[in-house]
Amino acid sequence: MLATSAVLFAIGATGVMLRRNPVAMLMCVEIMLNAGNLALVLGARSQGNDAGQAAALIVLVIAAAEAVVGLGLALVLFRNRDPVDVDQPRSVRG
Amino acid sequence: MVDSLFAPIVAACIVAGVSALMVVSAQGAIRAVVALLAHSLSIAALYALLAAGLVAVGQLLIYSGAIVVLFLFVVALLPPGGRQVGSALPRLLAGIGCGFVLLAALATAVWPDLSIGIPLAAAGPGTLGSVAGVGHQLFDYNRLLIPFELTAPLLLVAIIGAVALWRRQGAPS
Repeated sequence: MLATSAVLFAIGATGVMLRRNPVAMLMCVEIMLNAGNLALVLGARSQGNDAGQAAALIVLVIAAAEAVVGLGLALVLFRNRDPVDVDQPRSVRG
Repeated sequence: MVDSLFAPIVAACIVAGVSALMVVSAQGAIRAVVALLAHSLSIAALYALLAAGLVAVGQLLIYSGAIVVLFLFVVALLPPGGRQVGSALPRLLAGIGCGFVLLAALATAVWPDLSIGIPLAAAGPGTLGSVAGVGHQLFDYNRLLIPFELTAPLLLVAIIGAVALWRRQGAPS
């Protein structure tokens, strides 16, 4: 299961590097966060300690905040530019 | 106990991996969102199998409920027929190469502990994952109280930031 967590993290990181669509990149970041959370919960289970689960809950909340800001940025990018490429824009002030 | 959990755990791991690959490789945004939904559901199932009921419910509510729906809204708001920039071949190869390097690094890091996923019986379920236990961790001053309380201003700042970003862009110039 730790192997699953590592594989998921690698898949997510590969996705972040491959995709140029900001929304798809954010989804890959979510996969990476899920992989880290899975390792936390697995550690909590194998140690018999609740602290890992509490930390996983905090990571969930932080993931929500990250998704909100990231999607806001993605919407601004999509509104301003027809071909969307995260490498192109140098500012988001329009 | 462990034997009865082994098959569901392996199944959920496989679903999580395959759906993650689908998120990365999907061409259409809607397909990627649906794959992400399957991914988060399988992760929630893994949490439940790992005696983390509270985290599983949180994953269902926050990820499957809130974040995936947020992604769906954004995909629905996107201008239809917008030109997508494909990935060039060098970028594709470089990304996959970096992914394999990262996977190798992670594999060497976790290799000594790789077996801890299977002998779960050592730590019986007991009170692990109970709301009281996790809540005690979250609200104990010496443990996670301060990070937990700091997530509240973090969320507030995130909301204000997203609204400000959108409003400034939306104002007629």
